[in-house]
Amino acid sequence: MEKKSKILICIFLLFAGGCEKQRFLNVPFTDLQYVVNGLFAPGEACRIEISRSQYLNDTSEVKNVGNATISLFEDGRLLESLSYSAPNFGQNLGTYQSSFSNFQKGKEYSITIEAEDNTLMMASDFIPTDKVNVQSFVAPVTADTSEKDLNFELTIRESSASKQYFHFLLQERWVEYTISQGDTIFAYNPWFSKSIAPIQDPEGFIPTASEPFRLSAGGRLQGIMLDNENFRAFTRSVSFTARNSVPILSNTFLESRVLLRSVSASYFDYYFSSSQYFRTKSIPLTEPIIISSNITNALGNFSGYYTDTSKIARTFY
Amino acid sequence: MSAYNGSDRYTKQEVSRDSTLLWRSLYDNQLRFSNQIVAGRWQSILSDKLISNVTVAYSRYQTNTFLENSIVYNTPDVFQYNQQAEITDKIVKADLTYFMNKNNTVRFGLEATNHLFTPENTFRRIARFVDSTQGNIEKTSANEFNAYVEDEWRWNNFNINAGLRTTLYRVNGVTYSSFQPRFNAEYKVNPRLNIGGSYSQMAQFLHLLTNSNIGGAPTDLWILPTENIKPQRNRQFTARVNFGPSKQWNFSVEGYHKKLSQLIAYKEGASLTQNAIDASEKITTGSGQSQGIEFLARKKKGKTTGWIGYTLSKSTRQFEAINNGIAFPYIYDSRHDASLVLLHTFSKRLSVSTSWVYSSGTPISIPTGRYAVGVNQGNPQFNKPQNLYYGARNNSRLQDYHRWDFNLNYVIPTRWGQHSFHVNIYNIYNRFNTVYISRQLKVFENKLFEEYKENALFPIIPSISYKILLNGKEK
Repeated sequence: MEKKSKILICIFLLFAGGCEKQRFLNVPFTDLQYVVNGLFAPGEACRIEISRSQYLNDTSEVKNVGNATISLFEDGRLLESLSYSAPNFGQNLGTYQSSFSNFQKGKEYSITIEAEDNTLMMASDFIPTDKVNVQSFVAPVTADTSEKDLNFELTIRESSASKQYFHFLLQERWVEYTISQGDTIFAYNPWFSKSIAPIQDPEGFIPTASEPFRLSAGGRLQGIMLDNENFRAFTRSVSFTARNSVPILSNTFLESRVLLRSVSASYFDYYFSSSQYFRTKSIPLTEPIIISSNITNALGNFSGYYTDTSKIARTFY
Repeated sequence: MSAYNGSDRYTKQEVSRDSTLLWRSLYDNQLRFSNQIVAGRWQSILSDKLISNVTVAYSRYQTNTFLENSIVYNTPDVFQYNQQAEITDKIVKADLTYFMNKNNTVRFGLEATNHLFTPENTFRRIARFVDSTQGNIEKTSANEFNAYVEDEWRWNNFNINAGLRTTLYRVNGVTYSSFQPRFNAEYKVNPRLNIGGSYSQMAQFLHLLTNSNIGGAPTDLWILPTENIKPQRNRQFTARVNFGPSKQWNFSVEGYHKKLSQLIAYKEGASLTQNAIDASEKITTGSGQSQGIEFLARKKKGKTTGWIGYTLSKSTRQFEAINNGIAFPYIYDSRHDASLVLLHTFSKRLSVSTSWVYSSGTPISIPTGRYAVGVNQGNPQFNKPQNLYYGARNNSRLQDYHRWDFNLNYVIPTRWGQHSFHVNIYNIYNRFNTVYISRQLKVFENKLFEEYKENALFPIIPSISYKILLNGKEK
């Protein structure tokens, strides 16, 4: 009887244990990598920021790399070494900046980066030669009743050029004014990127051939990206909305401008794929997005663009 | 007449909460598979050279997947996904065999199948108290007609099999046709050595759409061709050598190379839960390749029999819109595959068998780090390392799969048949073989992060069984 009980208890425990087992996954630790983010454009200094990637569960602030040596080349000829400025108050990353700003279309610009641990990174890119061919720009099309939101509409003229990539970016700045002895004195703050909400933005939106491409980052839409092939085939107009475009301080007004950028293919691939990532990362069962990189031996992007047209959209008093 | 009815069910639920009740998360996964088949076959000898087999069959395959992955932290973020799919097939076919002469046999036949697909998806998302529920039910009927002919021909030391299958497939007002030639030749070099090779061209009208995320639910879908999604095509070459030095032993080596085109996959960033978007807009098309070499040594006679086999293979996929256009390992790619099977007969009553199987781990995409993207835009949001870094699609693999089983058989013969007792031990060394990875959202130090867990089914499982055989047939 005792033996039988033991056998029964063993059988019970065996089945009570269940068929499924679970354990924590040891996420494979890969070496941390450098992350390079750099842009250059005619008439502007080249600005590069370098950080380090972090382990999966390390959600702390981004890690700045401030002791690298960056050399800038034009068509293989050394232009200069970039100088470094430590991060400003409230920022995490310092900036490597060139004094050279005469970037020209069609020329190749490249960088080599040597980190403190002797890691050597390099990248190169062009400034595109085709410009945005704007047919019409209406701002604002409509405004809501409280006039907090602005609706814009942009139409591009058809082009037979080879594949082109565009990035439309909305920026705003506060302008403070004082009236003294009949004169108005303006103080202009720096431009900052304004989130643009598409007029219809379904949950988990993914760009398709019949929908314009949109760029978001940090959970906010940062502009509209598209290439001329899809644009030509399906629609030539893009509509977008700027939310809460009102000044919050007295004696200020808000200026808005839309930057129409022609961007290189690597610029487009990088920001487009990262936009996709931000847009879908909270949706379960989403296919992983592999963000492109054109930096040898690092993550990130070094790419060129030029701002073809900058349009002031509206001012608010 | 034959009939079969089977059903499997799997349920898993996990609730986590912190001691201060600031947050609570729920992971709930329920799967159900069932299959019913009824078939009738009528065989008739039409003449001394012609035999026919007419088959009428009905089959139904149903799956039901429910997944909930939710977290309540400040505001609730609830995700529920329910997918039911049913495939019903009605089949009528006639297979005929014509024995032309002792060296030549011709087989030919016709087949008509009606497929009925009923996928139903419901997706519920509650984020910041906004409930967005979507769902769709679409019934699609497709008709498939097949005709085939093949000739098996022996000539001197050659054995040749050549055939052609032609298919018409009509779905959603679109008709696809395909011609699928196949050729197999074998040459007997001497009584101990055979060499051979084959070529075949095939079309597959049902696409398997696999979800490569690591969310945890096995959510493979069967997709019908449409105007935009064409049938999958493949071409395969094989070459083999077979060597039998004695009646006891046989060794064979076979190599294959397969090219696939018009394959489908989810686009990066697409989710099977996006019902609002037409399926074809979530899908991209590309190509694939598989190649491998298989070694097999077999002992066919004696008290101890068995075989040992090893396959080295590689299977990749390439899509312009995935992984920056670079080829990546297919989710079912297994680089090394091995098996060892031994059977020893002690007496007419007692025999034991044992087997060991091994295969390389399944490729998966696991983020291995995070980084910040985009600067010089004047937006502090960019300074958060929010991007997960995968490196590449299917950048990692689950741990290798291996398992050892043991079986003991004891037979007591009687006048009318026999009693048969079996003792079986599955997974003797209790190997943790991961089947899937689950992801659960957690909060740590006021920040949201993902936690990944490996899930394994079937640890060591001993079992016993008893069978009665009447005149050699089990009952």
